[in-house]
Amino acid sequence: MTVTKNSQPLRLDISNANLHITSEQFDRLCIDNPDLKLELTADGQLIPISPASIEEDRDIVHTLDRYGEPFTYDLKDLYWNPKAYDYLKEQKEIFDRCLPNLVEEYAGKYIVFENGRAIDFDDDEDMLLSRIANDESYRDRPAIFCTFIPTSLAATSANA
Amino acid sequence: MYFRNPSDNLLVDSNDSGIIDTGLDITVVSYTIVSKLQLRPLQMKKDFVFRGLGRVSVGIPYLIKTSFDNENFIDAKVIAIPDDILNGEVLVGRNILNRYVINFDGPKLIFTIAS
Repeated sequence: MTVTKNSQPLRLDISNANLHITSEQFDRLCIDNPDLKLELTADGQLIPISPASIEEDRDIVHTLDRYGEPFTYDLKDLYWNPKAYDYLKEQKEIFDRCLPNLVEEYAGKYIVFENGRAIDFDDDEDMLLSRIANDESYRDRPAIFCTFIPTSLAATSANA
Repeated sequence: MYFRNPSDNLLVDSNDSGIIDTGLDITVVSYTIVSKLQLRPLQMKKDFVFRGLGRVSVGIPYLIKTSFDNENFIDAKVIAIPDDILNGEVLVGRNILNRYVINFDGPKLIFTIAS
């Protein structure tokens, strides 16, 4: 099947259809349609998934396991230290309130943030992480809140 | 590959199932590694894409020390995902690969990694 250039986007509803393709065809389909969120099961069936595959407010992720079977996990279970989760959640709430001021001062930079201020910052995330990793005064923290400051608040909203 | 906790050199691990994936912008490891090394997470979560499968996945970023020769370690960010998704492998992405010069001898099937 071929589609002429400059044609209008084609909208397909495949929720009631059984489509089977090869893994090579799937790779090409994903490359040609980066906005579509698709999965390929172990037996080659193409299935659509919601763009985020994440349930809001609970961080439940729906994906496939290594056998190609549907697999669900909670992001909270990926924190081996519960104190780290609590720390990051608290810092995120403070960070969101401070973001307008942070954009003014650190736009386009990576920062390590804690309790309303930037502990350290850098244009290069790897350099910043390396300094923080070796900072004795920061060693007792259960987590490190390191993030990129957008160039504007509008950029933040667009990516929310 | 060899791994260490950046804050505690006694917490170490190694993995002989590393896969070099130039299509990934970030390195992906299983949850078992981060819990064994007691690593510190960096953010709440991060989206990334398994390029080869076109799949969007989500994991938790952690700070780690890593090395190919168990001597020269670098600090790096890795994304932890459940063990059920990876088959014990480490997917080495460009955030680590870009710090090395990597040559592939196709006929001999040998990768040479130099800093």
